[in-house]
Amino acid sequence: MSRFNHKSTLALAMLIAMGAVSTADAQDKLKIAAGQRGNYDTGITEIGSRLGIYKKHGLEVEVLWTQGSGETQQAVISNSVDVGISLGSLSVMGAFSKGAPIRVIGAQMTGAQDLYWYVKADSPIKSIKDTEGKSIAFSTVGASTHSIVLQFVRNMQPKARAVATGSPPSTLTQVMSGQVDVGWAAPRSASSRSKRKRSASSRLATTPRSRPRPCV
Amino acid sequence: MRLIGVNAATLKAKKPQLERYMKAYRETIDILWQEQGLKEFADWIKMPLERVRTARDKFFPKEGVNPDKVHGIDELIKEAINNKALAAPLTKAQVDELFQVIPR
Repeated sequence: MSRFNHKSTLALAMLIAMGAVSTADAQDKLKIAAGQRGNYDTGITEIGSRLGIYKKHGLEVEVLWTQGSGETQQAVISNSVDVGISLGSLSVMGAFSKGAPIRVIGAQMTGAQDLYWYVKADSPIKSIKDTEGKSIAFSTVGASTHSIVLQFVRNMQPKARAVATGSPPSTLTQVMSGQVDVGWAAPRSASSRSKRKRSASSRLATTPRSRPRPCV
Repeated sequence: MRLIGVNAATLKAKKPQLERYMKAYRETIDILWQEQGLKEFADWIKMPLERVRTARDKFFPKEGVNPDKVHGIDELIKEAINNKALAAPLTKAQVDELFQVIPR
């Protein structure tokens, strides 16, 4: 073999090797929007990423946390993210019916047993029926918390006001500062804050059962 | 009922990636209801393991996060109309277009 051919062959082999390495390392990237960082159900993608499960399937995922499903839905509709986690079903259907380019590829949470509403310990509110003239929190417009609160207002206390307060930590701040009368949360966020602030603790007002419907 | 959603264009352009995403999602669910996943979650959010276990066991039944099926679509449509999210029921064609669950 001539010197030229030998060098050419070696250079070609190196290029092929570099190409093979690049191909093996390349992973498809997906951006995921999810609300309520810290909830067990919305943390599935994050944990899968940390455990290398997505990498095993040739995916690199980036999770972007939102204040709630209203924001997540907007990110999906605007194509800013590839997947939206924990979208409110009623809002999705409403947006779709108006022509929004949104499609459902799976159920994220069936039932609402992870959600609860609470008040400050010294609040005179003992149940939803005591909320005449008061404000009841939900995360973002179109979220499942919004649907539940609308049912509270429609079926149990028409003179209460539904107020968007964002995430559970943001909501807790607003409850404790008196900006909203009844807060919403899911396990972990409120309980951790309540434990730290024993002198300003909250108590449970109500919890919906497995389907979003008025509570007693 | 809360959902996993994508843009219609993404579903068209990235279907294989989304199928792999959902496969990994289901695998992660299995692990999160085992000790390894529970510990990883507790480490991530920096909370005591037993508190995370209590929250998971009391409030997040594993079957509740199963992505395989959107339950009660007819009831959801009625609720959407009651809440004025929908002006009229979705047709079957619309339901089929909206709900394209990636199978296991």
